[in-house]
Amino acid sequence: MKINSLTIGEVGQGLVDKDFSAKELTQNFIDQIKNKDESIHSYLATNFDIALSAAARVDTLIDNGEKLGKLAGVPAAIKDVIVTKDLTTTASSKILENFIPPYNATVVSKLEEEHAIILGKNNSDEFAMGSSNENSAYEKTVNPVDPTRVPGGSSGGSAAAVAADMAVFSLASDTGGSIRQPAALCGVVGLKPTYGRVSRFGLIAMASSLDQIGPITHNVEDAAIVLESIAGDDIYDDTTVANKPADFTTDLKKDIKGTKVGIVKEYFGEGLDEGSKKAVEDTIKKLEELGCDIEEVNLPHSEYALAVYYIVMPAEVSTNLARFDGIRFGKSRDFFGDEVKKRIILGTFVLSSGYQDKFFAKANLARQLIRDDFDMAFEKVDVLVGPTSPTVAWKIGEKVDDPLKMYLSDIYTVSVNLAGNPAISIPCGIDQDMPVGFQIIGKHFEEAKLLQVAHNLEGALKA
Amino acid sequence: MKIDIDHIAKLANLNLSEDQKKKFAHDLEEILEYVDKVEKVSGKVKPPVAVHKRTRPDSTDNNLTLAPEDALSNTTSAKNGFFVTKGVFDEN
Repeated sequence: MKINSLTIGEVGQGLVDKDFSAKELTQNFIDQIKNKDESIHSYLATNFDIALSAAARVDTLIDNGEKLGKLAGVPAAIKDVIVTKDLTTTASSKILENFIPPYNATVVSKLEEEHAIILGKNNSDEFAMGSSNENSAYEKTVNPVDPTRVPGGSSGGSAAAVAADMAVFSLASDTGGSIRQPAALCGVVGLKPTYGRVSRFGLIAMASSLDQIGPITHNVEDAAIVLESIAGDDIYDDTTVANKPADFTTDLKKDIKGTKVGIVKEYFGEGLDEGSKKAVEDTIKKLEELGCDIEEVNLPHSEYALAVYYIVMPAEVSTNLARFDGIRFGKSRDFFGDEVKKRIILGTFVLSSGYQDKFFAKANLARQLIRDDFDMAFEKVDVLVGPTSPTVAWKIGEKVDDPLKMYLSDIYTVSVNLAGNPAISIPCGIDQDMPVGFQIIGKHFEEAKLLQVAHNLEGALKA
Repeated sequence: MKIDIDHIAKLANLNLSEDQKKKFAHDLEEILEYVDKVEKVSGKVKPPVAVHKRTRPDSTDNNLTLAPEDALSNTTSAKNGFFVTKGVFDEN
C-alpha cells in the first residue's frame, strides 16, 4: 500500500483498522517531504513537531474510543496566504518574511476541530498574484509530473504538494482560477466553492469581491469532505451566508442520469490547444454515456471576462494592500515584488481621477452582464462544462516576459469568480505527456450537484 | 494610453526605480490597451442588492480582539504599548 497517496476515507479506515497509527502516518508524510521537496519546492514552512504531537493526540482519541473529527489524522497543508497562529505566514512575499500571526484563520481552526494534521505552508505566487508560481519571492515550485514545467498558479505549491503525495490535501485560495488552474496543470482535483460559502477570515486579502478558499485534493470525494469541514457562516466574514445546506457527501455517489449539461461554446474557440480540446471533448462523451443531456450554451460576454478581471482585481488589490505599511507588521513597501507593485500601480491608475468611469464603472457593468449570462444559462442547465486551462503546463520561464500571455492562461476560470459560482477542475486526460483539466461550473450554493457530476465523471474516466 | 507613472506611484505610496518605471509603464500600456475593450459594453448597472446584513451586539468580543502584546508582536516600532508612527501634523 502506498501510504502517501491515501484518500481521506482510506486514512480513516486505516486508523480504525490499526493498519497504521496517526503518528506513523504523519511521520511517513514528513519523510516524504524531507526526501522529495528539495526538488519540488512546494513548502515554505513546516510544522513537523506540532504535527507529530497533534497526531499523537488523535491516536489517544482512537485508543480511548472517543469521537473523531471528519479529518482525524489526515496530513494536510495550507497555502501560505492563509494565516496560521504561531506559524510563519509570508504570502510568499519578502514584506512578510518575519510575520508570525497571533491568530488562526477560521478555516484553519475548523481543520483543527476536525482533527486534521497540519504539516506546513505551501508556496504560491507572491500575494497569490500569478499563474505559474514564478512570482514567489522565495523559490519556484516545479511541476511534479515534469520538473522542467511550471505547476501553475497561484496555488502551485498546494497542487504540487498533493500531486507529489506530500499532503493528502491542501487548502488554497482562488481569485481568478488559482485553485483550479494549478490543479489542472498538476493532474489533481481543485474546488472553488461559491462566493460566501467559506469564511475568508484570516485569508490575506487579494481582491475581496473575488477571493474564495477551497481544497486541492486527490479525488472528488475528498474535495466534498474538506468542503463540508470548512463551509459555513462566520460572524468574522460578513460575506458568508447562513442556512445553506452544506451536505456534499450523501448524494455524491448517486447517478447523474438526466442531468442537464451545458457546453460553454465560447470556451472552445481560438487559443485552446488542440490536444486539450480533444481530451475535453472526449470527456463530454463520457458525460453522455452517463446519461446526461448535453446541449451547447452561450456565455456571450465571456470575451470581456479577462479585461474586467484585470480592472476589478488590481483596483481591489491596490486598496487591500494599502495596509502593508510596515508599521503594525511586515517590512516597508519596498519589499513588495515587481508583479505586486505593478498590480498596485494598475489598480491605483484605474481608480484615479479621470479614469474611474472609463475603466472601473465600465468593468462593473460588464461584470454584471457576465453574471447575467451565467444566470440565464443556469435556467436551462444544471452544470456548465469546458476546459480549465487553454494549455497544459508550460516550460518554466516561457511566459515570464509576456504579462498578457501569462494572464490569458486564466481565460476560462476568471468569469466564474466574477459571477461568484462554484467550479471544480478534475483531471480528464493527457496531452504532450501532461495532465489536462476539465472544468465543471455549478449554480450558486449547489456544490452538491457539482460534486455529484464530478464524482460520477471521475469514476467513468478511471474505468 | 500614457500613464503618469510618478503621480500614480505617489498615490500608491510606492518608491519605484527608474528601471521599474520603464518596465511597468510598458507593461501597463499593453494591459490597458487590452482591457480597454470594456468600453464597448453598454447598459445600466443595477443597484447592488444587500443579500445579507447583520449587526453584532454592542459589546466587546474577546475572541476577535487581540491582546495588546499579541497586536504588537509583529511590529518593530512599539513604545509604551503603542505603535510608533510618523507624525501626521507638523509640530509647528
